Amino acid sequence: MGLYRVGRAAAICAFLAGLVGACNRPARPGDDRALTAPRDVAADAALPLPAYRVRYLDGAGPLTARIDQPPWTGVPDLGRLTQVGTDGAPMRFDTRVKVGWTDKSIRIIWHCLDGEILAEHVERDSPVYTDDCVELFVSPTGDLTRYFEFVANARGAMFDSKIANPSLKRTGSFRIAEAWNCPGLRWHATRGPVGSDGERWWAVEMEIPFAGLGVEAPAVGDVWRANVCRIDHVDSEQWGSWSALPHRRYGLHQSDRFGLWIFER
Amino acid sequence: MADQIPVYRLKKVSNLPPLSARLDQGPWPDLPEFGELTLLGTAGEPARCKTVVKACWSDTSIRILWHCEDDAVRASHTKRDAPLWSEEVVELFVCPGRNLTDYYEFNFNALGAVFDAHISNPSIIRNESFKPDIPWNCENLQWVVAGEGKFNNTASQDKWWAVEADIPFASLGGAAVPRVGEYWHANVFRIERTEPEQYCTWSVLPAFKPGFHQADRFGSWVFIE
Repeated sequence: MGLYRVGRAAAICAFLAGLVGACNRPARPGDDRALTAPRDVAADAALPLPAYRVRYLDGAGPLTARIDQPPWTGVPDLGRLTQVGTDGAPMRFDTRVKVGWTDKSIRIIWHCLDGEILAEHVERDSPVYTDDCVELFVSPTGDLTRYFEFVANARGAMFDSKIANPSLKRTGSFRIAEAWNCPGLRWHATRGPVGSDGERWWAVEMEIPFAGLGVEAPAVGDVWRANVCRIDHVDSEQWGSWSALPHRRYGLHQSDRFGLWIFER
Repeated sequence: MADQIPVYRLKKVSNLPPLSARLDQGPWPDLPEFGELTLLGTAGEPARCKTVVKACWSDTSIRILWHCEDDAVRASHTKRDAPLWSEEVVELFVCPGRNLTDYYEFNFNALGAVFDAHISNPSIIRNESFKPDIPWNCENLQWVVAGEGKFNNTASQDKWWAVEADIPFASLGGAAVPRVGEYWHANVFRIERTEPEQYCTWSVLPAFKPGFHQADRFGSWVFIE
């Protein structure tokens, strides 16, 4: 299994079972087991949102998941991910993310520094979110009640789904269509060697066709809403988010907090 | 580092009373303020002049109020679509759609003049491709001004001036009435001409030269109940 820890999720599950009294389904961000102290949800909703200008990529080439290679050289980073449920605390390990677009698709890459990499799942639409994983939430229409979720781990397992979230926060009305698979989606995962300090990196690159999301290619100046996240299992889970999510109760599905992607050429 | 876009949540108010431009009247005492305006060309340095901005919405329109503390209120333009921005003015840029190259601009001065235009800003940040449609007038736009002082009188120690405007959704290129939870892109401004001049903006604009037309930094207006 090499770098990948096996059986750790089962251990976590057993530990959580002791905490919450049941573990009949995978723990998932959004479950209320991660409640922090109550916060003013309305005040949090008025926090600033991040914005990123998505560059047009000429000749994007094959997916390599290498952030130091074309088409990514010269493309600015999205910005730091901060821990969900905090006032902007950094994650233990840095994550670099870049996004671009072509005539046909969105390209996105995550480059994750890490210590131990937890990646058990290999099947499409398995609960990849219980591994160390990267996540994209994206609403191409700007309708924050309907969006898509893409989750991948270091072994290249993909969980993609279509979300209906009428309350903009994960509540009882939340619906997830896990059977949905994004037509034409391509992705690639890779990992680097262990450094002398025990650090490693792993990376995922995705190509998401506009047609797969049911939309035309954007025009310059179009705004999409999106959030980019990472889950890292260290001593305890850390959830990282591009857009500040100080209120952890609703997990990563807080679509009114999605940042802005502005398409440019 | 990503840009940080401010968020303002517009409350819905039914049965809006007539315009007053009075901070202590109508719906205004109960509504939250936009954050402090900052100086154009800075990383968020607060403007020295104090401006209170509030907004809300109804089934048919947006209401917005600027209350500007000012000890020397200056304005001379009185005609529709005169270059109000060359004097003391408050401004709104508002994009009801999902494309930041296409939006509307409103300027108001203390004499009750208005400049309104439909903006085409193909490069998102103003350059030579920028094209305002100045003859465009916002149908059924209402606005009133109020204030304390003798404007344009150098002997007068003025106190404040204010503008309240009512902008029908239907007049913004047929924009649909927003649903609760929906959002628009917008920025609000003030120009204060007492030296040293202050170009004030709600959303932080670190670059001075493109001026106010930096649509990629419009704030987010969220329509709530």
